[in-house]
Amino acid sequence: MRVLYFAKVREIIGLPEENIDLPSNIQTVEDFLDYLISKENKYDLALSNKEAIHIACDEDHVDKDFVLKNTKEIAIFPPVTGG
Amino acid sequence: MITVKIQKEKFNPQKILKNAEKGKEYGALVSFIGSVRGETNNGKVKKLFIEHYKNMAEKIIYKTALNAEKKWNLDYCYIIHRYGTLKAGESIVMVITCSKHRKEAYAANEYIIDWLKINAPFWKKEIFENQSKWVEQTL
Repeated sequence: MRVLYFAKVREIIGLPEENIDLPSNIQTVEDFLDYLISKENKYDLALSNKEAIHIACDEDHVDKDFVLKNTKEIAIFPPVTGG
Repeated sequence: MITVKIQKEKFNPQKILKNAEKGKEYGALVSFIGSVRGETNNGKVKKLFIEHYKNMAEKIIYKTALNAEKKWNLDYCYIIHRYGTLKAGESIVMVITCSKHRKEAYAANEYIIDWLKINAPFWKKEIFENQSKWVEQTL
């Protein structure tokens, strides 16, 4: 799965994007965030305040209970501030 | 008719407005421009950096314009948003909505910019003399 990071999340993780093979026990966005947080300190720093993290799957906003089964691209970012 | 543009380059609001008005008989045209503030609570802004998620931003803005077009029966809708590094005073976003009557054009314009602020994937970072800070969402 292609994983994209934006703004502050991108800066803390230190990458704009990466490919991650989804472990078989990961079902939802929430599971995936927990998986990243447990993986390395930088993900913990960037993502542990989950309330402040928004997610888009294949370019659509989704909730944390969204099931990732057919997702090709997930984007992880802070609340948007355009306009 | 809906036009959505997301670009790095500066745009000229007067030119866009003139094009929108050219030979049309809408009845009402409402135009909104958002620009870079020269000063915030954190001090004098040197530059504003705008990051975006291209494909999703285009998709969301187009969808929002389509909803507005249907809801308020718009005859014309033009939305342009910049990304990259901007200076204080430069235009960030422009929304033009045209309809037969002003109420519809006003309502549609406000709906589009409000929806864009909450949903379109852009992030602003203010750059000051000695520091920089990601802008937090204010609705």
